[in-house]
Amino acid sequence: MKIKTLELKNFRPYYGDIKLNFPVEGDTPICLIHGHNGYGKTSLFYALNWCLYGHEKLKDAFEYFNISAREEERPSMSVKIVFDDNGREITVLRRIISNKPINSIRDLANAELVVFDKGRKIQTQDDQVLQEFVNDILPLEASQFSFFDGEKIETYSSDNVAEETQGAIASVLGLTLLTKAQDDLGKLAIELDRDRRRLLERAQDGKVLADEMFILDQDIDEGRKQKSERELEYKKLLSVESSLQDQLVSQEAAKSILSDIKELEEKINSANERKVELVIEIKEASKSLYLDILEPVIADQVAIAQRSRDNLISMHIESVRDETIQNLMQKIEQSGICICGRVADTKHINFIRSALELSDGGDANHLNSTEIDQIKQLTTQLESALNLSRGKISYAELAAKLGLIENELDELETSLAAKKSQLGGVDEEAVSSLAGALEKTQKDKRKIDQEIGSIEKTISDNLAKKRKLEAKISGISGQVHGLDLLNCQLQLLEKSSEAFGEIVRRSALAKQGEIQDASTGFFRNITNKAFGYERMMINDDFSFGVETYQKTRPPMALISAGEKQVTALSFILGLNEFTRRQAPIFMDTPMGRLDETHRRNVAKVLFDLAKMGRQIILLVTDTDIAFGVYSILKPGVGAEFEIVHNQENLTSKIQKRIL
Amino acid sequence: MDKTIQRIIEEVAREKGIDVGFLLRVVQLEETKAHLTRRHGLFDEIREISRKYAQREIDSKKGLEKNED
Repeated sequence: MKIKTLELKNFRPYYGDIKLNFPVEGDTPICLIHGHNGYGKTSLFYALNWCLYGHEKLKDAFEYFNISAREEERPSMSVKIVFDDNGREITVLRRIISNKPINSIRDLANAELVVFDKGRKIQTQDDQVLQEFVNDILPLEASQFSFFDGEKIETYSSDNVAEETQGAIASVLGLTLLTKAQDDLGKLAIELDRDRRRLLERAQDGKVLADEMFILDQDIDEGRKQKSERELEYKKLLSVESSLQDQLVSQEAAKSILSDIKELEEKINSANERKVELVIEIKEASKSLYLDILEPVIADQVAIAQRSRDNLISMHIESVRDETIQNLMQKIEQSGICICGRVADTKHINFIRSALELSDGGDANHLNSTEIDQIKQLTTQLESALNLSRGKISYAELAAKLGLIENELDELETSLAAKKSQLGGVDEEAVSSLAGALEKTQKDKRKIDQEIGSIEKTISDNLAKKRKLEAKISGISGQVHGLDLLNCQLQLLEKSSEAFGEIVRRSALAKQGEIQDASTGFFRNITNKAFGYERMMINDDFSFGVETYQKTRPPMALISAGEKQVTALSFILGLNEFTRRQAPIFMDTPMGRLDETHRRNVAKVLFDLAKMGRQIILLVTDTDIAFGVYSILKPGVGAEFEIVHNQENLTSKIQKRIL
Repeated sequence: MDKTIQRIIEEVAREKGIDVGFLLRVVQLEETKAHLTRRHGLFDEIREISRKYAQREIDSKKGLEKNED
């Protein structure tokens, strides 16, 4: 079923006539209605609801009436919706036409409902018949999961949603009727009880019995009232307990994280110390003049020999013995400083060359003994420098070690940052006070539980007394005509009222699993933790939860506000699948507190629904469609409108945007 | 009404010893009077059908008593 057109006249800020044509054919069933806050988006949402279901209070209708239009001679307000139900056209029109200006609620004429089915007006004097027809198109209970706003998402995002969830499941399944039946039978039983008292007073001893019964009923009522108050208190404590337990779990988790952090910080300190030592060593190594000179030579040899660094020294000695002597000498000449630290003049260079030749078994006969001694001394210096260089050459190893330590530090610091982000500002000291608060709550809970038990016993005693009294009343029922019947009727009403309560509870439980599965389908598509969360839960007490692939269920206290909105929206969309009619999804500013990823995921889900032929009408602000949301929806968008607001007379118009 | 809910209604009626017909009739009445503006007369109608079912129960008890006699 799709909305073909929506027409408004003098509704809220819309002064005059407004008509919106929505796309109903083809593969672009998405419609975007853009508008800033306060321009009249929500008024469109109200208009749909008013047209279909009317108003609860006259005050609402008065407020819907456009202020300027109220002053006209024959003011009128109307909303008309044309539905396309697989080719069948259904028109619903609700209007108010007054024959004088509307200055107060009293001047408001009655609202009139007009319905056309396949172009033919449904003729009836009874508005109830028409309303029944509209309800059949889209039941009121179900419509709240097709037409909804951010407020509804907020409602299901709050911490204590159990009651609302059960109510929502009940209403979508049509169980609201059963709840109403329960209430109505209870109220009628009270009325009949009054009748019975009047009848009883006519019988002999009847007045005494009636008075006894009256007092007993009062006691039972009072007991039930006390019980329900206590139960409410118990429920609140239960929720406090659960929240405290969740907090405690998170605090306990925090304690373990804190210990991990401490350990990581110690490791980081130790690695840093090692790093400092290494850096000093490396600096020392690089300071060595010998190293400065020799390293480029070694580097050349590395390139030539392609050998491992471990063999550098021996390789170098080899090199010195053959072709690198020239190279080494050239370096010394270029730098002007020798490996022993002296100025490398020609004489000194010759000494070195001779020393090298000598160490290589060369002929040094041309040298005198002093020179030979000097050369030997120099050779010793050179050898010791080479030996020193063997240690210093481990520069590369040191650098490699430093690299390893830096990698280790990187890893440790990444782990530390991750742990700190998990911590989320939890105060370790709060753990003990939380445990104390939890203990106190549990104590209070036990006390209230005992009180409930005691109240229940009193009620049960009074009910037993009542049954005895009923028996006495039955005994004298023959004395008064109709008393017997009234007794039986009363019992039937009381039992049936209780029965309806039980039916609602059992039915909601029976359907809960199916709705959970449908909601999970949406949840997994919207959540940005699809690889972490396996499904969303609707627990036995109708509260929400999430389950991971490891089958753990993180406490909802640890779930962010945005994620709670995701569960809420998934639940609403899941419930929507259970409505009898596939109504259009009409969402008013749906993105709320969702982050960019979630917004895009919601857009994808809506686009997928649109691809399956579902009509989607979105009332959006600029921020709702930012972050790539618009481009995701765009291929499915068949129409776009813009609400234009006149600040002077506070009225709004809607213009079609050219696509 | 959904089959599961129908089954639950029958189950609870049996457990509580209530005529399921009465419960279904009440549901039907609630459904036709569901809309806020349409609940007028609902109590009178429930009162009337509860009277009929109560009378039926009394008659049935009397019938049983007669048979026992």
